[in-house]
Amino acid sequence: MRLELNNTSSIKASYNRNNQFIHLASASGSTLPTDIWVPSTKTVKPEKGSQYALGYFRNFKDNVFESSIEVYYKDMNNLIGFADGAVPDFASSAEDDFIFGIGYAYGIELFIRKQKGKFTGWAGYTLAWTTKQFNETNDGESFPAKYDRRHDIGVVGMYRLNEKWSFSTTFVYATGNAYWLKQRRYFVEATLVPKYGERNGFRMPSYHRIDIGATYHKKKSDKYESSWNFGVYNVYNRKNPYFMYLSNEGDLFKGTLSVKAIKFQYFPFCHL
Amino acid sequence: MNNKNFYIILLLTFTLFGCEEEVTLDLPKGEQEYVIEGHIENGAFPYVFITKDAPYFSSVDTSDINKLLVSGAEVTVYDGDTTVTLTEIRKGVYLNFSMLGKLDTYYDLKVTINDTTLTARTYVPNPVPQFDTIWAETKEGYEDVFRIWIKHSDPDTLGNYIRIFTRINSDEFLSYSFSVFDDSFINGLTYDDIIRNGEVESCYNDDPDADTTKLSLDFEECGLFKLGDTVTVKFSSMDQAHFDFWRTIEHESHNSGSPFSSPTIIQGNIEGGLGIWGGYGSMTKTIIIE
Repeated sequence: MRLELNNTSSIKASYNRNNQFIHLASASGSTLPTDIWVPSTKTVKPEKGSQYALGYFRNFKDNVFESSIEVYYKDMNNLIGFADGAVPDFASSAEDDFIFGIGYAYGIELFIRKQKGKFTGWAGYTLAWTTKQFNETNDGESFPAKYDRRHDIGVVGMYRLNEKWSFSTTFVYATGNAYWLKQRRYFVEATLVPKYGERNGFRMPSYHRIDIGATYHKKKSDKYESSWNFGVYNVYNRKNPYFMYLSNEGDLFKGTLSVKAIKFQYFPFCHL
Repeated sequence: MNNKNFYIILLLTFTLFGCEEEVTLDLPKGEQEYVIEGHIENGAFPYVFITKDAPYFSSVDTSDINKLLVSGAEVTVYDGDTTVTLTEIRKGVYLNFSMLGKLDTYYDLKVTINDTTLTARTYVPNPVPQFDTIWAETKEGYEDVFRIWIKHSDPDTLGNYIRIFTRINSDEFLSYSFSVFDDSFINGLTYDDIIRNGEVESCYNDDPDADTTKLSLDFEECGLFKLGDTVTVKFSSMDQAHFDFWRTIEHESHNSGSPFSSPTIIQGNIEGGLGIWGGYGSMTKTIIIE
């Protein structure tokens, strides 16, 4: 739905209702995404979500600048998760280990774009919350979803020097994923046993990087158009973590027991 | 392979260098809880071991572990008729020498430490006769290293939870790393099964000079028995809460330190604390390997 206020601005509102028939069951830890996809069955009901959005759009300086500010709210039902004591077992169906709950997602998005002139680009910022709540876990308290991204920033700039050369730069920033990590430990029959803290109570370090690029446009012929791209990714070489896990090894009685946290990053030489 | 393939593979291997890095995490300390490791078995006295938990990254020196043992707790066990008090015979270890465990009985544990009270209830079930035939066979190619077999028959009702222990000569009963199972998969079936030696040492090299921080597995004798051993196999029946505890513990201990695991929440049965108060209804059979 769109309401035009005047030549340069308008208000838009929308309502969406979604039903989903395949589901991602997330065993949220800090380790590799070993989530599984399951279809809807008699036990696993379809997930439902309703989203409401409202935005104000405005253009500046004769449409050179385009900007918007939008807020959204979404509520979800029949979200799927693994029960606390669930252990993969070939003798029983994964369905028996599922718990079902509700979730909320809401946020505000700011966006501005310059579309004309030698220098063009856009910048966007989103502030968002995504939470889940299940009666059977975390003492029934709501907790952040694994992919709850509080801040999300994207900035892209492009500069067209002349017919042959153009340059670009990109900056991205995202708050780290929420993970469920071990907090305390004790011993049972000389085995080290962990106790987990609040569900998804730990934040990974945030993800950010700057990429730069240059493009050389070759002269267009009748049949062909080509260009050379040169780029550097992750200019300041940030080691963005992909996942983390906690490890203990060794034997208590032999005095070789050690506990440590390990961070895993992809492609360490370019740190994507 | 030709030159081009070789260089591509060489380039790809560089992508894997330095993938993992040990980091320091600033985890919140959380609240301290008491840990109970207690059990009662038919024909045995109740045993309770009390410790405290600690932050995950705190020191694991034996002297610091000692500080986690809990002294001066008041420990009682009630079997439906009488209540007995357990005495502390060693720091953190509480025993009573008048109450023997009986089959088909519920046992209530109560522990009071300063202002905190922890309670738990467990059941000592009748040992379900799981096996009556036991025999030993030599491992292929070896003359004096043996496997122990049993003929395992599960009764036709669901809900049998078992933990297996083995004892060699007169050592204590030990359990192998996957020692608990239920009958959801084998309900009502009869089949032959191998019993593993619970002594972890059988899986490691005997070399006294070996680097103990990297224990190497010795598969020749891992889980096996020697000629002349008197082996006692014990099948202990448990209630479901007791089984859930060991099931989650064993799963967690095998997945810990692996980047591919997911969190396992240990299902203890202690109200107000961590750990287990477990009943075992046991049956044993002995074989002398000759």
